[in-house]
Amino acid sequence: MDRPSFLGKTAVAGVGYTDLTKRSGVSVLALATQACQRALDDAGLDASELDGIVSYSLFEDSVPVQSVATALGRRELSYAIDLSLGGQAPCYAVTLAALAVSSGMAENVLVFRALNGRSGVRIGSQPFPSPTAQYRYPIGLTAFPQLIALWARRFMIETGTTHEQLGAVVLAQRAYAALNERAIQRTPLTLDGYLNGPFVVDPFRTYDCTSEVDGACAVLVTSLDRARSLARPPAVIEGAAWVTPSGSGLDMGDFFGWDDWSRNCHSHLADRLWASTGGLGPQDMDFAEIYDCFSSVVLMGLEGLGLVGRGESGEFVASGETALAGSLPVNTHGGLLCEGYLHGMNTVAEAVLQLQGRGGDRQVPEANRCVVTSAALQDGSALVLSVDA
Amino acid sequence: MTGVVQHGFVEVPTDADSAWWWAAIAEDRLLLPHCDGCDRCFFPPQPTCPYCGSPAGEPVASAGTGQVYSWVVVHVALHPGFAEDVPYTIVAVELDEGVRVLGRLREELELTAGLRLEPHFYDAGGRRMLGFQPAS
Repeated sequence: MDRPSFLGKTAVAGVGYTDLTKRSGVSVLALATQACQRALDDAGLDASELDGIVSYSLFEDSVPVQSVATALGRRELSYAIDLSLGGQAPCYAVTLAALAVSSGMAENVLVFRALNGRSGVRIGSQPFPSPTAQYRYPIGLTAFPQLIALWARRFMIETGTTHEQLGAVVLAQRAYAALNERAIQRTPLTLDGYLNGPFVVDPFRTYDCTSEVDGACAVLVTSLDRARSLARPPAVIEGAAWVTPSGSGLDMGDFFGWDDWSRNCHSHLADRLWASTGGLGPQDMDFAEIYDCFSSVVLMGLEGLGLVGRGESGEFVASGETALAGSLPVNTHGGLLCEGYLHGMNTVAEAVLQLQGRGGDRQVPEANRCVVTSAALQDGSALVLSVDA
Repeated sequence: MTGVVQHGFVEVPTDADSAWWWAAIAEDRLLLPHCDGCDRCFFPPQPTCPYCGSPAGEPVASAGTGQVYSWVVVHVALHPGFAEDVPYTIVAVELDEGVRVLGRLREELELTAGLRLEPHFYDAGGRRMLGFQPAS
């Protein structure tokens, strides 16, 4: 397969965040508009040059992109996509924006996620309607933590991963969050503290679950040439992949026929992702931002992408290799576990900040290339981003 | 063994693809969708075989025996309907036909992967349900 032509020619040029809070007190439209305006400002692009917006949401917890185009001053769009997707979406949404830029459908495209995820619709405890819900809800399997815990258990069975090693993921990300003023879970945690924490759904304790927040995050995607003329250094899109693997079932909650619950989407993304880069591989990554609605997803992601070997991720994290001083810093913002659940959009934005050298106290030294993922169950997406060579 | 395993229930309508499966459960029978084209069982019920795309064939009767593939123990009810049930265990069972299904465990016990299970039919919310217990 030839390398997709938009890769190496498109870039993320700016990022914008709202504050992350437990109760924003404002509408999702207000959050979305603020994050989008801040991403434009960050890049130094006037809103009059905006011609595309891509967003994603679940359970009607967000606002359509047309409303944000209106809120930014009656903008006319030539590219507008509202994806009905969850954590699989952010890297894919950036890819769709880059494809639009590359093909000439649009020049400057915002990608955003906005939600009152704590004070409004709470995804973590929300039953989600689907054709196969009839086999889950009536027995008391009603929400995402319980579904993903089934995969985590099988991963622990297959690889020997321990509760302590799940805890190591949480501790590592708490340490980053302590260096990130935006993060909402900044209190340092000890392993004893973790192990004494209450179970939500064994094997997950509260600490293993993402921190739901109100807030929004946006990034601006444009051509590499254009990005070079803007305010921030470009984060070049060097690799991209989406996969709906064989056996993905009828909906997000149908993994009855998924062959191996100890391997999630990351294992199916890896080959496509690395092939798309035109020569880069896991060994070339300086850091990684891995989707982490739950702690186990980080471990399955590290192994699935080939960043570590099968069964090695728990020890890798526990020994400090994913910390700032380690060989592969991972989830440098504290992840969705600790910075907050902006549904993976902030995972992409953190990668951009690091590549731009804006990580502050948590800046990864020599941050030139990274992998970012948006995946926890069957389908999902990933990006490889790099500095402008 | 004694005890009611499940107080809570969330009503989810069956559909045109699944009505026959639930009708069998109501009679304490487990039927599995089967493909005549590739001679495989699959789950859940759907119009075509997810392995080869052939139209689904006649279902086959299953003893419902199998082994533990995975499980979770719910300590915090994430739906108010199950608040009285916690803690409760949901087990993913790999049936002997190679098909995975989910069900409530009849009573709380220490599980290990591979433990042999058999079906345990029970009532919840006015519906007959498929659950599991250790094989006798």
